[in-house]
Amino acid sequence: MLIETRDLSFTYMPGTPFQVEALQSVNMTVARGEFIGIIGETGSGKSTLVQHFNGLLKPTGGEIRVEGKNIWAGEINLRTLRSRIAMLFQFPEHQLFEETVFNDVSFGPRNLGLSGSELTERVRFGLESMGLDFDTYRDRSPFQLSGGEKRRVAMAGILAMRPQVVVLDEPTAGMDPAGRRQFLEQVKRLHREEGLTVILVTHNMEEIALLAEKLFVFNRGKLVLQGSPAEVFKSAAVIRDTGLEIPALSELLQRLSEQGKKVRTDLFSVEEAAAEILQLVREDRS
Amino acid sequence: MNSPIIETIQLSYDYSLDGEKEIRALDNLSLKICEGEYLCLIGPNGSGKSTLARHLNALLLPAAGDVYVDGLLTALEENRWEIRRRVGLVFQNPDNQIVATTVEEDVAFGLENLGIAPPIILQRVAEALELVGLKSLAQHAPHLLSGGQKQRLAIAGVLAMRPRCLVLDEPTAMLDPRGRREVLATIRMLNRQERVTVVHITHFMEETLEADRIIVLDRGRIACSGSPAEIFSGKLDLEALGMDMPPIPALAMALREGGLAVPQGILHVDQLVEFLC
Amino acid sequence: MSGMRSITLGHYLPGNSLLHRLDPRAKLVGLLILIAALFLIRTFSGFFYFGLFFLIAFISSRLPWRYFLRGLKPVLYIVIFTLILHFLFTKGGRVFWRFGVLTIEENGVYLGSFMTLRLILLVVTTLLVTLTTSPIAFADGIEFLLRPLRIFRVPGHEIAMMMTIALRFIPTLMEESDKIRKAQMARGADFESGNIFRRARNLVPLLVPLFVSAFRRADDLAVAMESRCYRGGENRTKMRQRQITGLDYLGVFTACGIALAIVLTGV
Ligand SMILES: Nc1ncnc2c1ncn2[C@@H]1O[C@H](COP(=O)(O)OP(=O)(O)OP(=O)(O)O)[C@@H](O)[C@H]1O
Ligand SMILES: Nc1ncnc2c1ncn2[C@@H]1O[C@H](COP(=O)(O)OP(=O)(O)OP(=O)(O)O)[C@@H](O)[C@H]1O
Ligand SMILES: [Mg+2]
Ligand SMILES: [Mg+2]
Repeated sequence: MLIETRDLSFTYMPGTPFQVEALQSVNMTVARGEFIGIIGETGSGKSTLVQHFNGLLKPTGGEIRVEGKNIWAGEINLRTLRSRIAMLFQFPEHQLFEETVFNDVSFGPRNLGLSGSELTERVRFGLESMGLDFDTYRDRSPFQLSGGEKRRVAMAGILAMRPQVVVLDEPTAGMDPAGRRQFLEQVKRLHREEGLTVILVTHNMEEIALLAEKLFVFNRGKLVLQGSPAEVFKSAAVIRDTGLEIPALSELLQRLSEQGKKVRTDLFSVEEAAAEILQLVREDRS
Repeated sequence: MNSPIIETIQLSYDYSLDGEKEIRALDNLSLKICEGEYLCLIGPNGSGKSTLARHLNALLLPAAGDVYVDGLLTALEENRWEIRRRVGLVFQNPDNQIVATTVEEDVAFGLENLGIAPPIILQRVAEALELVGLKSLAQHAPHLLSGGQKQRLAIAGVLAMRPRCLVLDEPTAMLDPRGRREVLATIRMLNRQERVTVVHITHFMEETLEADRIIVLDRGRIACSGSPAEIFSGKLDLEALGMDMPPIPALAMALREGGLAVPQGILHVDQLVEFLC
Repeated sequence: MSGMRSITLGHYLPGNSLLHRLDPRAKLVGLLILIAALFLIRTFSGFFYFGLFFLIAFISSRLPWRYFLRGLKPVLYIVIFTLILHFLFTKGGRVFWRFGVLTIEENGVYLGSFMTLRLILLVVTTLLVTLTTSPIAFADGIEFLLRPLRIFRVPGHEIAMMMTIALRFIPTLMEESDKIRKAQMARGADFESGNIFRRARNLVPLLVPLFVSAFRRADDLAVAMESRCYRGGENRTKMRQRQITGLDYLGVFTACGIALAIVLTGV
């Protein structure tokens, strides 16, 4: 197991009138090379959870293990850990600070002690992984890019550290459909081709159902459901109870199946759903 | 339909970059918004949606062309406050539009600015909070609310001024599904029951399905406009405009291509289920 | 440092005690009178009576004492610093202790304790008022107190508005700085080690985005306020006209009386 939590709990401001139990006894595992989705309504503890994966928060109860090692028992150097499990926060364009795109993207690798041609290579890899041309962008100011470009530069800065895992906290909020599609396309390609482990936190059910291999559903600090998107969205009642919703296509297929039609309900793409329904109609006719 | 409440006539607007280079954000845009209409505005990042929104209540003034609100010209200084009262704006980030330190005080903010008498303010604040369903939280501190509650608070703050038109700039972009449902339900209720004209800007295609009309903006111009059924009929190349088909219309189109005679205008799960059963 | 989300300046705790219900104007006037008294007191017995009065007020406010003490933490260093400064550098009277050139003498001990006590009483009294007054009420109180200064063109309303907005945005900005700090730490930034110059330089990745964000928020907020017809204090009304009640007069008179009594016994 790459990442494993054992009875992980976290309380903000313990011992004050404002105390919040953000996570309660969470047990979950993430394997190498998986594409994980984390969903749950506002305040359910998603961001708190993922900040434990690279040691940005220290559990107030239980433990978190990476490759079998308890990260808070002094067995792992936290800075090395953070370069391997990289994290992109919501609205990542707000963290840009350097004068040029090159400098900003190289911030992470520089902190790892890289320099010279190796550094340049890393920056090139980062930018080109996000579909940004190295020579066009390297000397531009990150503050004069469009919103979508800024976000990709921020992601490039993460990828330039060559992490094994990327944690993305609502990476596409505020992007237009095309931008969203392209961004996720790049992430999917890295997952497929480079074997990158991806942990995606999102509020977009349609998106996550198509992308993730495994979903974790949170509600008020507790892990309430896990499994493949098909398994998770089958529990429509639980999903709705936690304030989420199921993708429109799943809803349609489930409704059809409730009406006695023999359709698979575990399809999330338009093409697959269409094929399934067309076949159903053909069978009905014959 | 009814008479136009907002009209832009050949509206153009430029932002200047570094003082010299200019960016044309709106380009000769003419548009009529009817009283009581629910209009959705979509378009890629940078297509000028927010810039247009800010022209609708005189936050920005046209570089060329005119904007009329309820017959009032926005360019005239003396019309400004009346226009801002009649057209309320709600922004994307709920945190950056809440001024006061309690829910109730925040709703009162606009009314206080208008110099309305305190007893009337109290009454209107209560009304507005009731409408958006936040009455029980009147004394709460805004930063302790959820995203959806904050956005409804922002809507209440505008509603208290009894506007004729509500312009919402990506009000759900930062919300979770529940928050989004709450806000959308509030917007629809205001449009249907309170007869408020709504201009709703969004990047989520599913949100536009209830609209009376959708306008797609591209590089400061109207690329196309029509009812949701027309826009999502599959005849327009939405992808070229950086937009998407919502799942159900997309499925209907795929079924049509597969030889099934799905009627036009199917937008919702219910409709498709009904057709298939 | 996490968990700054709920903190507001002064850490106001809602409640329903007498102190909570007092009009902010009455509270601020009372506070000013008490502070003035504090500076007139010349004897330890005066401090003792003052302390007694504070204790009664504190108990009646029903604030949790742990929470109260936590609010004092930031000023602890200043108090200790004052104490040490006076102990070491105020000379005169008997010598209690000597180490090389350093001596602690009678006057130092006396003045040090005196000043420290005054400082502590000043802080706890102010804290008691801020903990029982909501930020918005506080700003209203300030606006009222500044009103006489209008003849000198002091913009009372604007100052109060600025205070309210600052209070409203402090939690947001703290949260933001927490987030940016973590985002940069996730890229390997180091805010904890190195000498002071290194540390200062390492703050750049935190400060630049924080400023950019503060400006963006300020800009957004200005637009939002403008679109809700904000145009300064003129012709503005207030939803809640604060009513001065008998209770408030009583509060101010009590403060006056107590201040007078303590000063008279303690000068
Ligand atoms: N304050 C500004 N200064 C300079 N240029 C600006 C400014 N605001 C917007 N622009 C530019 O004007 C154009 C239109 O921007 P606008 O914000 O109206 O787009 P939008 O459709 O709202 O985009 P989004 O979907 O990202 O919100 C863009 O090219 C943008 O870069
Ligand atoms: N810095 C903080 N200080 C105090 N409480 C916090 C802090 N951060 C989060 N919380 C609280 O902890 C709980 C979990 O928050 P968290 O941010 O992990 O939720 P989330 O699932 O990421 O929500 P969202 O979808 O809104 O991002 C919430 O109740 C929240 O108010
Ligand atoms: Mg979060
Ligand atoms: Mg916009």
